[in-house]
Amino acid sequence: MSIMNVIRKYIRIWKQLSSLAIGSYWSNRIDSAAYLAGKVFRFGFFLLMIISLFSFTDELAGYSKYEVVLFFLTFNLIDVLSQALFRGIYAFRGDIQRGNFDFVLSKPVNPLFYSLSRLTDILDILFLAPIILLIIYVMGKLPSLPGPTQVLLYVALVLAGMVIILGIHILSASITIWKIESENFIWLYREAMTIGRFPPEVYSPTIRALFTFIVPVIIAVAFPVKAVLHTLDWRWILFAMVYAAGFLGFSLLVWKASLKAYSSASS
Amino acid sequence: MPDIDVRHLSRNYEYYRKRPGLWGSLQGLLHREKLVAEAVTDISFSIEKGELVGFLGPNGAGKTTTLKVLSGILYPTSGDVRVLGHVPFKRQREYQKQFALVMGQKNQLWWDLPARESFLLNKEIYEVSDQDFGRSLDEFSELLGIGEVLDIPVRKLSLGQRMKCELVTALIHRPKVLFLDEPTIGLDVVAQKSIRDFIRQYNEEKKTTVILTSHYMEDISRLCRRVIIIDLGKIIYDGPLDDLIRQYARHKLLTIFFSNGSVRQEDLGRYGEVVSCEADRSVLRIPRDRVKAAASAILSSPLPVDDILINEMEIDDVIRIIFHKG
Repeated sequence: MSIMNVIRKYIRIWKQLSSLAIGSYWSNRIDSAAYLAGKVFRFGFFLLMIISLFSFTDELAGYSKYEVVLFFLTFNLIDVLSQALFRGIYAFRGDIQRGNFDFVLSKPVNPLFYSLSRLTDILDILFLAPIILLIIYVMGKLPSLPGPTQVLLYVALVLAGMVIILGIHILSASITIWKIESENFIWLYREAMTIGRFPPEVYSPTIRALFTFIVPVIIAVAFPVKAVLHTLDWRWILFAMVYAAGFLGFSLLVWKASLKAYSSASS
Repeated sequence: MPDIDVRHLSRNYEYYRKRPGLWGSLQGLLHREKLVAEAVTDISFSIEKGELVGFLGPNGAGKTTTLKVLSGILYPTSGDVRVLGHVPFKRQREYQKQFALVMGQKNQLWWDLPARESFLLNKEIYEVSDQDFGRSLDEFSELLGIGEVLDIPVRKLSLGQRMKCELVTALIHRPKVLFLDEPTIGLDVVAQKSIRDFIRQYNEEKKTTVILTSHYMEDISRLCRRVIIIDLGKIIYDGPLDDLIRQYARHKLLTIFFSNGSVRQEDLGRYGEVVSCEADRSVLRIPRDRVKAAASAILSSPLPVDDILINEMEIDDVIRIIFHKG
C-alpha cells in the first residue's frame, strides 16, 4: 500500500472517529456545555491574572507584559492541540480494564493512533482559533516585531513541542498497558505542563534543568517563545529538534515492548 | 493447508499476589510475590476451511486465551500458531482484514450513538467499498431483523439487538475466519436461536471458518459437528460431537410413561439406576450395552407402561463427567 493511500486511509479513519466523538458530545449537551464553560473560565481567569500582575510590576523575570502573555498563550496553544488530538489517552485505562483494547489490537489500524485519537475534542478545536488570533495580536505588540525567520522557528519549535507531548502520551499509554493502575502518569504530565504557563526564568536553575532535560516541558512550551524573542541560541534550537526526535523514538520503543507484555483483561 | 494450525501452543500469565489489608498493601510496595499461571499448555489442533468448531471448557480453562492468541491480541509464550498462513501476533494488516472477533461479554459499538455509526468506522478501518458495505449491511440487517434499530443509540437497544449489531460490525468486511467468544451469553432463548440460525446460515453459505466458545450446550449441539474440549489449559478431547457422547456417556436415559400412578421406585430399581420417579413418569439411567435388554424387560413386565423413550445423556451431563474426570 503506498504512503499516500495509507495517509488517506488514516485521514478517513480520523474523520470518522472525530465524527463519532462529536456525536457523543452532542448527545451529552449539558456535560459538554459545562465543560466548555470551565475551559473558558480557566483561560480567562489566568489571562486576567497576568494582566493584573502587570499593574504592580513592569516585568516578570526580565520579560514584559506581552512577552509573558505570549508564554501563556503558547502554553495554551500546545495544551489545546494535545487535548484536541490526543484526548483518547484519558479513556485508555478504561479500555484496558474493560478489555476493549482487544478489539483495537485485532483491527487493521495502528493501535496507538486509534487509542490516542478516538476522542477528538471538538471543544478544544474551537478554542484554537481565538488562541491563534491572540498570539498574532500579542506578537504584534512585542518590543521587537518578529521577522519571518522567528515566525518559522516558532512554528517549527511548536511542532517539536507537539512531538515531545506525543511522546509523553505514548509513554503514558505504555505504562497503562503494563501497570493498569498507573493512570496517574498522565495527570502528572498535566501538572508538569503548568510549569510552562510562565517564562522558565521565574524558576530556580534546578527546576529549569529538571523540566528541560527530564520532563521536557520547557522545551515544548517555552522554547518557541524564546526563539521569537531572540533569547534562544541556535544550539538550543538544534538540541530541541534532536531531543524531540529522540524522545519520540524512545517512547515508540517502550510502546512496542508494552504491546508484547499486554495480557488483556479476563472475561 | 488448514485455515487454523496450532502446534504446541503455550501461554503463561505473570501476576503478583496482593495480600489483603493495609499492611499487605504496604508490604506490597517493598516486596511482591510473582506468580505464573499457565493458561494454555502445549495444545495442538488444526481446523479446515469452512469448519464450525465448538470450543468447550469450564471458566478459566484457556478458551478465550486461545482465541486471543489466534487473533493476535496475545503473544504465545511458546509454540507455533498460523491462521490463513499468517502468524497472528505479527498483526499484519493482510491477516487482520481476513478475520473477525466477537466477544459476548464486551462490546465495540459506541454506546451513545446508533450502531450504523460504528459500522461506518469499521468500513473505513477495513477499507470496505461503499458498494460492498451497502450490500453487506442490507443482507445482515435482513437476516438478523435489525433494520429498524440501526439508527437508535446502542444504549437504548436490548441485549439481543446489541449482540446482533456486534455481529454485523464484525462481519461487515466479510472475514474468512470468525472467532466467537460466547456470543449468546445472557440472551433470551429467542435471541439465542436467532443468532445460532444466523451463524449456521453464514457458515454454510460463505464457508467461513468458525471457532465458537459457549457455555450453552444448545449452541454447541445445534451448530458444531466437532468439538475441542479444554480444561486447565490442556485439550482433553478433539473430535466429532457424536463420538464425544458415545465415548464419555456410558449410560443412556430411559424415560417410562405409565398409564396409572401405582408404580413405586422399588419396582424399577432392578432395571437400572432410578434418576426420578413420579406418578406417571420415571427416568432410569442404564449402561449403554444393557439398555435394549432393560427396555425389553420393562415392556414384558406387569408394569403399566404407556410409552418408553430412549435418549442419550444431556451434553451438559456428559461435559460434567468429562470435567469431573479431567
